[in-house]
Amino acid sequence: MSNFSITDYLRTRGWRHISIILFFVMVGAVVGGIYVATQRVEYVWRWYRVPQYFYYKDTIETRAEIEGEVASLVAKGDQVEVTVRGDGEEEVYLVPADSLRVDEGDFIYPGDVLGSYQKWKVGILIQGLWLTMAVSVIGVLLGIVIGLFTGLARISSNPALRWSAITYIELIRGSPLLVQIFIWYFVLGTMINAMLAQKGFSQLPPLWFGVTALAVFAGAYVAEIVRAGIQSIHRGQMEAARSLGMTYPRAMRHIILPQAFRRILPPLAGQFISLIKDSSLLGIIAIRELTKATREVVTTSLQPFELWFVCALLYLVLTFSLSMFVQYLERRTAIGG
Amino acid sequence: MVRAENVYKTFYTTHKIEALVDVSCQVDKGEVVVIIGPSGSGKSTILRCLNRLEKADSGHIYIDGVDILDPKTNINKVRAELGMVFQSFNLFAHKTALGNLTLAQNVVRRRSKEEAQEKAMALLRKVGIPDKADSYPDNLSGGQQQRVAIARALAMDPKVMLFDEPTSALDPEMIGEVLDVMKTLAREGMTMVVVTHEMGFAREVADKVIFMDEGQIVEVGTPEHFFKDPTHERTKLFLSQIL
Ligand SMILES: Nc1ncnc2c1ncn2[C@@H]1O[C@H](COP(=O)(O)OP(=O)(O)OP(=O)(O)O)[C@@H](O)[C@H]1O
Ligand SMILES: [Mg+2]
Repeated sequence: MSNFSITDYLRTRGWRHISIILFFVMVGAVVGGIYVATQRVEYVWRWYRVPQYFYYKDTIETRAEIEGEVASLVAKGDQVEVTVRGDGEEEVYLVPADSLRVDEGDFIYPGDVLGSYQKWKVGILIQGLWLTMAVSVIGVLLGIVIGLFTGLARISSNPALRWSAITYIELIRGSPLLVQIFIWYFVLGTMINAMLAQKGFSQLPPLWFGVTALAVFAGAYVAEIVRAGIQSIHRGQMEAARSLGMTYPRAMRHIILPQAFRRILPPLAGQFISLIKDSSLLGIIAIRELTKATREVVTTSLQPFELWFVCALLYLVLTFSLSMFVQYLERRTAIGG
Repeated sequence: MVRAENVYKTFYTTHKIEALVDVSCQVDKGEVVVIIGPSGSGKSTILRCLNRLEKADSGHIYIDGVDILDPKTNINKVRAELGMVFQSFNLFAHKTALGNLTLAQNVVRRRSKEEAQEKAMALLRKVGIPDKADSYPDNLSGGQQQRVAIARALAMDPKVMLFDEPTSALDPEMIGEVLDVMKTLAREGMTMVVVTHEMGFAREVADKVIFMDEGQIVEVGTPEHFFKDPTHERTKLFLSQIL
């Protein structure tokens, strides 16, 4: 009855199954290989040390500042008001009720703990992740604004506008971002801060120059994306709009840009993803984004392997959720959808 | 209504193309003028010069008395009075049929939303596709798209309609529905300039036929003149090829 042979199986679904298995075998081999290699260099994996850099319990202690006796304990909601009375002095402390460590009548020396409780706090990696997200989002938003106007200038018939746009785009795309960040911080930043100081204003923090560097950098790439997007719209659309009496700016706003936007979206998302990764360079001007934060944790914890993997994973989470979001947007803005 | 005087237009690509050479013509109010001629003879170019999509190098073009080549002329005002229908429809791909008809009414004519929609629906009924109001151009047949495009131009209440081979991109079975709309317009007294190869249309509704060749107007006359005894050899040759 069974005329099902191994060759039939291979011909139908077999190769597909074998390929899938092969993929996982390869992934396993790479991971295993790394693990074995770390054993060679006698690396001890300590994953349990990683979570504290995401969230940790901070112990908060309330300590007495004078010597004396606990004169009274008065409950105030879920807090307790502790009054300590010494010779001629009196101090009042507020302590959460369940953390209270003293009784009425206890004798207290300065530095004694009146109450001690623990509180969850976000760790340095989460702070770094947050900063990375913030600088990337602000950078890309400013970059889109810069890029939109530069892209429009780039295709303008006015030579002054067009050449300015080309100069800007070529300058930015032709030099390394790292160098641009240095210039923004050490050259322009120094100049601007010096001028601000002369006028009696406070200094701008490195973060401002870092975000500016990212925005100006992204702007040049966005400009080219915008230009390509606009030029991909059939010129009949512009002609139809103009022949109805629309001015050039109106035709751009109502006809060309809405259509170009759909085509611009995927490369724009790619640019955003690049910017998230490029923001790791900001560490060199003392902005503690994710990479810099990881580097600091590595120096204190001495667990580089786990932490760099975690760092990469966090970047992946950001970039991957972004591309998911863009796919969703693309589906939603599809014509007729 | 429309007057062109000694219009020249030259394109410079790899070589020099004299698309229009000393072209003069006139279209009176309510007249239907059909332009015929072989490919590359300058039919589209003269039409596009009339609403300055192409800027003539020299000569004068007057639309309802306004010199459109005068730099002081607000060309957008003039264009709002000139409806243009393209060979490739050029409907706004991101707008529904209704949206295509209302957009310029809002933006250029500053009509209220209700007024624009009312006008748009009336025109969609006129071109016979009120049921397609909410369809996107991609989901319409060629004939339907071109009828929406005509309605879009009409929504601006133009004084003149310009048609550049409106049926050339259509499957044969859809040509009739578009020509019918154009014939209705002609009967209602619309001033029309039509570039077309549809000789039946020319014979039926044209007041005047213009034959162009190599950037020049070779012959102007009534349809009867053209189909009975054209004067020029080039006209005879062209008509013999096309009929
Ligand atoms: N934008 C342009 N740039 C360069 N050359 C052009 C341009 N537009 C038209 N031409 C040239 O000018 C000449 C006249 O073109 P036009 O489009 O007016 O011809 P036409 O009579 O409409 O032909 P068809 O029947 O093929 O549409 C052609 O040789 C064409 O190649
Ligand atoms: Mg043509």
